[in-house]
Amino acid sequence: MKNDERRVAVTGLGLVTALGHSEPEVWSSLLAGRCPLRALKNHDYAGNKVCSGGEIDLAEFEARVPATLRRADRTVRFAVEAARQAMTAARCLPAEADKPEDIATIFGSGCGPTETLHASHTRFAEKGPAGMRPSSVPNGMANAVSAALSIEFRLTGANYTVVSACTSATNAIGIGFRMVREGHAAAVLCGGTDNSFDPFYYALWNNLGVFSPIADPQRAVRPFAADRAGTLLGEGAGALVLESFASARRRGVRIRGEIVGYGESSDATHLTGPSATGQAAAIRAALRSADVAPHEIGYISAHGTGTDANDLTEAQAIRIALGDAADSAPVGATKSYFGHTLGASGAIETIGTLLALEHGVAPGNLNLEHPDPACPVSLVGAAPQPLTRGLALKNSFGFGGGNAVLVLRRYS
Amino acid sequence: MHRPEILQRLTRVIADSTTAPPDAAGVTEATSLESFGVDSLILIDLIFDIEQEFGVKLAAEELTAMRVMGELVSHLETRLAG
Repeated sequence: MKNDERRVAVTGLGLVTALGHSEPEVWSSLLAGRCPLRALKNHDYAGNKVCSGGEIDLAEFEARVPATLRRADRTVRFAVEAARQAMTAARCLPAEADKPEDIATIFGSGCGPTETLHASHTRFAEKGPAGMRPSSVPNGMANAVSAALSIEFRLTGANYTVVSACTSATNAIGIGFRMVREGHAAAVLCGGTDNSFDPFYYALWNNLGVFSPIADPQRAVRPFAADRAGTLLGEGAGALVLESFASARRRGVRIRGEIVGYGESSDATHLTGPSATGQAAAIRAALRSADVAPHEIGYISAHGTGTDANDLTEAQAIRIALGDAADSAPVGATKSYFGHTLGASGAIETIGTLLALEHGVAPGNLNLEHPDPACPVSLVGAAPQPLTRGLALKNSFGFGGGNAVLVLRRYS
Repeated sequence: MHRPEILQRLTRVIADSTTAPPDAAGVTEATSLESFGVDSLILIDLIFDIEQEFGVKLAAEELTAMRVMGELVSHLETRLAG
């Protein structure tokens, strides 16, 4: 057993998702197989080919946000609310007497402040440079996310935003893991956030051809199914507080799980086309980092977008990296619940994986009536499945060729 | 421009610029400027938006010295008349 100063505990969890705005709410919905994907209604999306996804109930969400953050971008507001839950659970709010010193803020966002950039673009089109508000830069910069979190919670450690498409949050958590394990930070607030349904940002996806055309949103996302047809977007944020086991025990805070390894790689081949070789390299690197053998892995939370190429490539990567051990590591994918939350997905799904380990059961794979025989992996069925081993992988792969994988362990 | 119109347009600008959007029907010349929750960054945007709306220059120290909407209305009324 490693020294407790170098073991990385998760002591705070927070979620803002279409499936719920708290960890217990999300977990009970995952177990119940409840799918919140719906026809989009927060804005006017007329003209888009597909108008469905994992949309936040904005009225309920905005009621939780302090008035002082009304001017902040919604991407930031999602992050602050998820972080407030995590920081409260970890007893790291500014008023706490025994919180760790100089907590770092490492947060991911694939899109950045989409609402602000859209508004600035509109003003530019109407008024030209003379119409740009002075706050356009500070509110619209990608690191507005981590900056706002650092200010909101008075966090004086390192503060930056990781921007790497759909691996953003997993990269942020991985960096936070390394910072704690190597003694560079006493604690880290990490995670990811994205506001995917700003009408301008959403329209950028319209002709990319990755959205599922299946009319019923609750049937549209079918990861690893032979009849999968594409993905739908989601939005929201996930936040985690990481600190050493020694710190968590000294402060008497509840440990929700352990991060034991992190690996990353780049395909270096194509902006959007995935590579099984590149993904397998990240999985192997994560296993080496954790000092874990493939047969010890008991669950894999897949990137699992539900597109034809992504799921096939990911299944091949798992088989390459794990070999025969892939037969005994069931693969689950929860984007059929949340939608693809882009730069937030790694955090939201890491929290889902920690909860699965904690409860000893994996959520069912929605819409998996016909598993794709071309995908060489073992899949969780439509119903929740008991987990017999306490180690799991969380995969995230993104546009740009970035691959990031965490190894998570149940705390008992 | 008459005072009621200046007040109405100011209320709309402030609603768009600040963290505590005023209820348009409830804003009077006696409404406190402090109640709108203006920090230093929002102040810069607010001044910018007022200048864009009314076409007059406004210094930060002039705005921060005012306590209620009526003072801002008077200030703009004078500038617009001049």
